[in-house]
Amino acid sequence: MWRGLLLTFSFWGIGAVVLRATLIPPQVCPTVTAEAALASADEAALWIERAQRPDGTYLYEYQAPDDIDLGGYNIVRHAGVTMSLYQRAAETGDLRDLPAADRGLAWMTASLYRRDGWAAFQGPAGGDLQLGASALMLAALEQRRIATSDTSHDDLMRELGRFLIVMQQPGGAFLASWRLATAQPDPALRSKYATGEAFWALTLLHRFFPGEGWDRPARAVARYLSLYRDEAEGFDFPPWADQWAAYGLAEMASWPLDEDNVAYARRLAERFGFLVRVESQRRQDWWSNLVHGRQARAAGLGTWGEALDSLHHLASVDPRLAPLREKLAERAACAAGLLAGRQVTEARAADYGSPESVRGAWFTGGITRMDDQQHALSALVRAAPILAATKEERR
Amino acid sequence: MTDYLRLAVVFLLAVNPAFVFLSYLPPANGSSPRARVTAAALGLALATGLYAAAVLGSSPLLDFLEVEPETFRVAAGVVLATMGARALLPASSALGDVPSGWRAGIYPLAIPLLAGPAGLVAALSYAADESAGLTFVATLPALGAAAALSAWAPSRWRPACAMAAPLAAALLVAAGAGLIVTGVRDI
Repeated sequence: MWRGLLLTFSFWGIGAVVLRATLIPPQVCPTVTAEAALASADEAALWIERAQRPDGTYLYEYQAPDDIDLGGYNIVRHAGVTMSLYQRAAETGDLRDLPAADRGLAWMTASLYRRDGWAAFQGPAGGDLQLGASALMLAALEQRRIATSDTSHDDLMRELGRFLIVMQQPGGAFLASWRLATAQPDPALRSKYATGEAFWALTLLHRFFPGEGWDRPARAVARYLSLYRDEAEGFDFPPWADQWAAYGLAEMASWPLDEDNVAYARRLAERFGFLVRVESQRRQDWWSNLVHGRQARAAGLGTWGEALDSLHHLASVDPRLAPLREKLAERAACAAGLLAGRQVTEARAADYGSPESVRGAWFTGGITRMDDQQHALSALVRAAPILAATKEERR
Repeated sequence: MTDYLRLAVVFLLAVNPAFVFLSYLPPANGSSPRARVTAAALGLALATGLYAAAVLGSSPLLDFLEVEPETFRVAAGVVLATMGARALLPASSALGDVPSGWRAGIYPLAIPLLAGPAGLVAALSYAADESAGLTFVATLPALGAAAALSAWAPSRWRPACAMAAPLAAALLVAAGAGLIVTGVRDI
């Protein structure tokens, strides 16, 4: 009997060790307070400001160990980084970043392409017009308007909105590029990011200009995202983890959403919650890299945090999603804690040749790209109210 | 289907009374009827205690391990599917020499047949996800059925159990896969 029991327990012990090492390693979510999240977002914003050049562009990609500017640029990411600076101002009321954001905006307004009553952000290099660049530029202007109540860019916002409508298909989908050569949208090009970006930008336009009908194209794209996008655009593991769609759905929370939108929001919540759970199990060692994959870069983890923040807002407003609210708050807090814990602090930055280029940033393999700071900043600044509310509820 | 019924079915698959009977029958054959009943009662009591400990200790254990219930559900699904696949193999092939008399109630009846990896891990997972009390009560029909078969079922029931056991095992594989999917899809 004892031999049999000993053998049984030995097998169980081996099985438990294998499970622990593979499927259920500890999920570590560093604790972060609302104040610490905002401080971390401040550091990220300061990095972006220090990385800004006099013409309004930002340091795109930087290799810390060798203190090398790796060059390159991307106008969609430029618009996104600028948007995040305005977003911080809009969320916190702290307008310190506005001059830097306005320089980034001026670089965009200097290279607009106008036609038939619409405008698109083309970039100084010219070429075909990217939907994502204009959508995020519009989102940046919308965040600026929330932060400042300044209406001086309202007409430009409408012009950019009309470009988005030009790019929209009858079923609500968007084409990703407008070709100068044919003076038409390229029917073959779609973007897994730009559709959600345009969606969010349109929902915000409805907030500022509620009587102008911007809600109709927004609802059309919401329906496309909820029901058709994953299949039509060939995503293998639906739903595509689209934090921009989550932003848009959150903005529509009080319109309200239809049942298909709610089901889609629930699927997004499940996907982003799972992604953060897995990320919380990842370590920086060879075994974790082998079994669970490498830790996500801040641009990835940040987008998951942004989505969870948005979906938490949605669940706070829409009673159909209220049962998800507590879990969403947990996962959003986890994403914020992971981000804050991985940011380069002032003390760690001192070990580098150019500490000011490192401090406040997130690095993967010694390299940071400006959108690492953008998405982490957005996730942290929008997680702060959730962290504060959770703390209050626990009291 | 009510939550209780759903859990009770999962535990019937995880414990798999027909498989228990087939695995336990060879050692029981050499025992007197009274010894079989004694061993089955002992096995049932011990297994019930182990399940009670599992459901009560579920949350503290997961907290200690720093694992969310949703994540543990994925691991539980893998264990259920693996043990279901294992139960598709011929019964009792892995038990080796087993004791006779009341000792058989401890090994192999209580451990690992009644309280095996599939049942215990399912108890840990469901207790963390749902009510510990409901989970514990849901284990009782499966444990009772398996213990009753072990105590009183005649050898002629063997063919029927030989048909039922792999069916339950295959359904356990499906239940494990379902648990994995819900664990992955949860927030």
